[in-house]
Amino acid sequence: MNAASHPMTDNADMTSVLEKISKQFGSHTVLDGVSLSLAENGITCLLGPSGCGKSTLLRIAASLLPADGGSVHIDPREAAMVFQEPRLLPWLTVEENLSLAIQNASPADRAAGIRDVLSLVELGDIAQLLPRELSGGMAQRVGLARALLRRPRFLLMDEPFAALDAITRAALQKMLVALIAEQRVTCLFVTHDINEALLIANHIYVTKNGTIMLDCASTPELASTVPDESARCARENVRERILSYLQKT
Amino acid sequence: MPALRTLLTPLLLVVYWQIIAGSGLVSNYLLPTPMTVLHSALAMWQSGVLPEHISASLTRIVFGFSLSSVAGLLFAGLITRFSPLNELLAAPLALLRMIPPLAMTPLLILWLGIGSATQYTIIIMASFFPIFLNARDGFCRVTEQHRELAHSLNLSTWMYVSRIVVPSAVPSIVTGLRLAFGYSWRSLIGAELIAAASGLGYMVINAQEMLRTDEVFVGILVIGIIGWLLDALFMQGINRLLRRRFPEIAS
Ligand SMILES: Nc1ncnc2c1ncn2[C@@H]1O[C@H](COP(=O)(O)OP(=O)(O)OP(=O)(O)O)[C@@H](O)[C@H]1O
Ligand SMILES: [Mg+2]
Repeated sequence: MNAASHPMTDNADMTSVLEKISKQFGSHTVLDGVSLSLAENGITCLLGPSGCGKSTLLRIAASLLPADGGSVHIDPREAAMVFQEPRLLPWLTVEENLSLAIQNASPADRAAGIRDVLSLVELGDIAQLLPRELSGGMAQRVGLARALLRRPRFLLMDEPFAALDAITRAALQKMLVALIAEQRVTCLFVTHDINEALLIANHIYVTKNGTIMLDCASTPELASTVPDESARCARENVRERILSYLQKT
Repeated sequence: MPALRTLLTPLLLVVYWQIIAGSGLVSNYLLPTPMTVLHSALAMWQSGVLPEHISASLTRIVFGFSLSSVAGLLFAGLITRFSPLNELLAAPLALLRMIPPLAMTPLLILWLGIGSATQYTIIIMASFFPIFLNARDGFCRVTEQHRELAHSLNLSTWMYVSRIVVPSAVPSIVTGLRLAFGYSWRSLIGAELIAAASGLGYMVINAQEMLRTDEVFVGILVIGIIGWLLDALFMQGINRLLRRRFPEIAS
């Protein structure tokens, strides 16, 4: 079903993570033979309209939900999830929330790890605050920090910035791109926002009606952080392609 | 200002009481004046009668209620963990719950006498169910989102229970404890009326037999005031302990 409309420029750095996944809820087929490969040490965006099964696919990838058919090639111990909402435990401080992610470390390592990861997501002295004392953007950073603390090979993100204002979202998108490059993790990023996908992705899949129908190949220009003219052109090309595909019925 | 308003009604009631009792319309044997009651209270305090009965009742409530809380919470945990127990025990528990503790006093007197064992049993019977039932409901309050989170963080059972299950249950547990406290205080006094040789309930029934209505009044008022104080103390302790992490409980 993977009707790749564009040949992939480079297969070498793609990792296959999902193969022919199908999922039904009752008689409603949400996913129908979806296969997915991720750009290694980069960001792969899964773009699709609301209700098309993006969260379902992500939860299957994280082994939080069993698939009806197909296979998942992600070891759940190597995956970390960032949810659509920060999902911090409201009765625990930021530090206690973060320490849940690294229970096996010694107390000293845990404290050091938490300190480091907080500075990584550009958060200052907030370890002793409770989640309700954080702004939305700060809370979402803590959610990301918690996932990073697990030192995942695969970072799975479910529309993590969708609920944020445009300014905060732009800041976090920029931070994420830098972080992924630096930390060398393979990120699957689900979004319904074309601009977001064009801005951060090395690779974009577009999904509609339960299958991935469009596979926009990695191009070096995609996700280039240098705002030069050729990158802008490449993005506009991809945007045209995605839009014309989504408008087709 | 709010404190003043809280005290205004009791003050008016005392004034009203003084007017009725002092008017001579009602015999002072049936309704002694507030002043008489106050004098009796002071006399009873100085003679050591009042402190003795207060401490007897307080000891029972403190130990009985603590025991009952521990038992109720442990049992709720056990039943949540081993769900077949739930069905096995559903019928006996439903039956037991509907028996007012005081209805058990005749049997308890036969089996345990009129000593503290009977009082403790009454307290436990009165407070176990609100604690147990609320805690059991609370332990099932973990949201789907938090369960998913625990799964994705690969939390150990201990961490899952201590960081997610128990905190999710805290509001229910507090409600249960508070309810149970009121029940057990009232049942204890009731039991002391029937089967005891000490305690505030015993003091009241004893005064009645001695035809000392003023002392009956002292006993009833002390029972109410102590119950009220204990409840306020309890809520204040809870508030101080949980206000930061569970702001929804602080009332
Ligand atoms: N547990 C469930 N039981 C039944 N149906 C479900 C369940 N979870 C999801 N669905 C259905 O599957 C479809 C896809 O849901 P999903 O949450 O994956 O969409 P989504 O692409 O993430 O949407 P959004 O962008 O709004 O988050 C929806 O039609 C939804 O009703
Ligand atoms: Mg979703």
